[in-house]
Amino acid sequence: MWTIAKIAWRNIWRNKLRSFAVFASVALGLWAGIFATSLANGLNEQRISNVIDNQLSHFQIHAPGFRDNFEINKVITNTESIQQKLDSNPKVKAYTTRTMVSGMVSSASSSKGVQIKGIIPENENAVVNLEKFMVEGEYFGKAGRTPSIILGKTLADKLNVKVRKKLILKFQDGNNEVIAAAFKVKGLYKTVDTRNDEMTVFIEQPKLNELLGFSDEVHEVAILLNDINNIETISPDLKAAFPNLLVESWKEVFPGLDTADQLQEQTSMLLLYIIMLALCFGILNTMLMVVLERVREFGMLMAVGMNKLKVFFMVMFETIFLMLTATPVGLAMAWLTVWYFSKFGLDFSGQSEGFESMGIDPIVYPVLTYDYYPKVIMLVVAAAILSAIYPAIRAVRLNPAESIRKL
Amino acid sequence: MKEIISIQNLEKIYNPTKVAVHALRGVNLSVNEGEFAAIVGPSGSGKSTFLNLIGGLDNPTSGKVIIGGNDISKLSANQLIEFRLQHIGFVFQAYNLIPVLTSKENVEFIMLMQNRSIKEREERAISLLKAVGLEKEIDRRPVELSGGQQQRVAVARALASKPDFVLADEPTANLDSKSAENLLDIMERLNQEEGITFLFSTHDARVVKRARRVVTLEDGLIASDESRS
Ligand SMILES: Nc1ncnc2c1ncn2[C@@H]1O[C@H](COP(=O)(O)OP(=O)(O)OP(=O)(O)O)[C@@H](O)[C@H]1O
Ligand SMILES: [Mg+2]
Repeated sequence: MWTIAKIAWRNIWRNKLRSFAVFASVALGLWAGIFATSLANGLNEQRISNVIDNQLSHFQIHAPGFRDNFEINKVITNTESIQQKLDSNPKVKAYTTRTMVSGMVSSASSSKGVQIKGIIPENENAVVNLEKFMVEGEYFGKAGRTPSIILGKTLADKLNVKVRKKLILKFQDGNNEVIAAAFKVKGLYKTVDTRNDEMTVFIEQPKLNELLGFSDEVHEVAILLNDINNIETISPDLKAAFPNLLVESWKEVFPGLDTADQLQEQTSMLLLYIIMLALCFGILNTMLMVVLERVREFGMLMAVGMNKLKVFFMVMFETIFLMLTATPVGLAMAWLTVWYFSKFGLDFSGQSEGFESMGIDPIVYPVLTYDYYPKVIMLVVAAAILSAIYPAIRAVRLNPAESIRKL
Repeated sequence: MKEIISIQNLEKIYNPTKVAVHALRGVNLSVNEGEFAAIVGPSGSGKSTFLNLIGGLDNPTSGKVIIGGNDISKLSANQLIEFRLQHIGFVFQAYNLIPVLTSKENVEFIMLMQNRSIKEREERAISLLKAVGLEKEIDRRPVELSGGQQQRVAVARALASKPDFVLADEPTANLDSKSAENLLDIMERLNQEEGITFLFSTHDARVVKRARRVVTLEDGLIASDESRS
């Protein structure tokens, strides 16, 4: 077998151009597959962490049933005791409370349906860092006689309002009374999630509570942990601490995000499978050519007494060697590109419209875990075997007398 | 003299279903140990077909090929490959060697398939290459050898397995006359000094001249069989 392998190895170098073509296609295919996968992974992780950082936080607390249809009366009442418990928990980095109601926002020219969130500006900042996203005007601060409102840049454009202009908010309170109040645009924000920007406006919580007739009731507590990896361990404690409330981690609040994550992993593997399958056909074709070209040689070998098993393995080895020599190159190229761009990011700002509407930052940092590489190598060997079987069978089936006749 | 090849009523029809070609029409022949015999005849007379059947590279339509007392037409495909490996040495007109192996490795390869020890392989390969006058070309690959040298490596390779006899289908066809004479010298010497049996086909009158037995095929039948001393 050793000699068979040696012959197979030397055979690779007989037709350098052809071997190089196979070599290049395997290396490039691997590189493209792996890099695309890492980009997709990176995009996905960014999308998830964006949603977590900017919207979901790590945990959310609501009154049971509130999230079903955001009924204004399903409130969290004992806010102060919640705050005490959270303040004393060392794993909690920050938290914020929100009151929310859906309503209409109207400018002189048009109106839009929105979700109105009453927030404590500095707490909100500590949890989702809203201030970071301000693009015009300022983030609350001292209000004049008219209370302040913060809204998305895209929404402001649609409503045709600018900073310091007035807007009317209209909504129903808990008794189905319609309430309207005027607000002055204090600032405009813009996150990567433009769809969400268009649907959410922020005002100060005391003002909203006053309009709704609440005292210290809120609808939502959003909690940020020191370490996202503590979610699973802290979850039972939090749930036990607030038995009458619904405590949910981001995965529970938005299960789709987590499933999308798993789906993403499978899709990116699928991409690699498809690339490998395409490579298989190319290599099968090449090896078939090799076998046909060497009909006389195989005929001679079988004539002088080389058995079919050895002939089979000779073709097999040649294919595997051919692909495996290209593999380290493809992997190294992929590793380098992934490493480089995970440091410096890959800028897709040219296409940023599409990215932002998906809630993704246009600079992508590819992500690839190391356990991916051995999987790829196994895939290459499998692909080599798969594409070598048919040519090897063709070689074995040759009739020595006829092969030699083809002189 | 011991009989090593016995051919009985050998028939070969190619394409029996379509346009049948009657390549051999009942050939009988007996070859003894130590012979140096040439198969001659016009093109298409069935020389290659005959040698292929004797070498177990193809199956006869009817008749028997008995080598050393074994009827090889009764062997399975795999048994036949093994039989060829152990009992028959082959020299073809061309493409005898594995291009990526050196002369020595080519000669060793056949012994490797016979599972001989490394020591035996090395020693025998070197002594055989010496015997065919190629001690300097031991580490060269086929492309670095002339056609005549390649054929001499092929002869060394054919002998390496210690076969009962060597079959050679037009071994000199691709050689100039000097190389052809040289190859014949070597084959003749191996025949006389080592007693190796050679059975070869040829078109070349100079090669025929050197044979001690000349079997002439015509249209799939033996037209004459002359021995000379
Ligand atoms: N595989 C095959 N299929 C069909 N016909 C064949 C096949 N091999 C040989 N023949 C035919 O059988 C006959 C004998 O061919 P063979 O090759 O044995 O002759 P030969 O004496 O070796 O000729 P040459 O001197 O040209 O080598 C020819 O008519 C040839 O066309
Ligand atoms: Mg012939």
